[in-house]
Amino acid sequence: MADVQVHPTGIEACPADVIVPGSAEWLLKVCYAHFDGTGAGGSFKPLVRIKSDAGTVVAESAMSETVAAGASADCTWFPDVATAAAGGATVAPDWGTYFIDSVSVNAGGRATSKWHFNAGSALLTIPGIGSPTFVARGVYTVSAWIQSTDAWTATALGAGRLDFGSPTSFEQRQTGGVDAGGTMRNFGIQLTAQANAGATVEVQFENFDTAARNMFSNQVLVQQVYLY
Amino acid sequence: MSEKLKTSLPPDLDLTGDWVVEFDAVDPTTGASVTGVNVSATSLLVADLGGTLDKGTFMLVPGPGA
Repeated sequence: MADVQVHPTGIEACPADVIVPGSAEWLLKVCYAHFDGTGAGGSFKPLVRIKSDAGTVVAESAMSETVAAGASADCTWFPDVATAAAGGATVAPDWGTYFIDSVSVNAGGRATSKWHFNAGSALLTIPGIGSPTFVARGVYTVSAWIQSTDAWTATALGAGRLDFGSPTSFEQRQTGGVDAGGTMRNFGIQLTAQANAGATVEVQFENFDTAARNMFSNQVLVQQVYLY
Repeated sequence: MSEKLKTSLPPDLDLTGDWVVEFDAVDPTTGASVTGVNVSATSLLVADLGGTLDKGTFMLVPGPGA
């Protein structure tokens, strides 16, 4: 079964047909044509259409690229060969750093505080009041240091809670101890999860001491892992 | 300068008598045929399953509405 090149001659305005001769049976392997769009009424996509002997369409395959009006294109169609899918998911490993104002947290209580953008890309929208929200849908890793400059009771604990809103609504909690000198040991808390655009990201400070303590974070890293 | 473009066809596309390979130029948004586009230098590479491939010149002919 030899491969044969069929070479129809002529120049025709679209749509232009190659009709399979009545006695033939062809397994189509490659299909090529030159599209001259110098007189085109507008931009276009070259297309090949297969029609049965009943005159009905069996298949259509259009080029993924658009040819501008006035331009031309040499087009080749192959079975089972497709243009790679467009990168709907933009992988942009971007980052931004933030800090969170100090807040007095009541004994046994929790509190949040105002975020501020520091450096990198502004991946969050920071409202006047309330928690920041993600600008774009994606997967993010958020890391925060939980800090305090107050003198804590030696056996007390501080904690941080980090959570994302929709769609994961997942929360991570980390607890830190206090040095013998009464300084709460800074500790990190990290969460990687999916977040929709507009989903909140919240850092809560938690105080397990017997009196109110100030807590803050001067290092919050928002790392964009994947956008989709 | 012509742009080199490639795309796919269904596999094992078996064409018999009076089937048609039609080249068209369509609007990227509406899919309607775009006027003023000419096709030339067409070429098909086929496996001749019937072994009765007609010899001679094949013609590119106007399709419906051309």
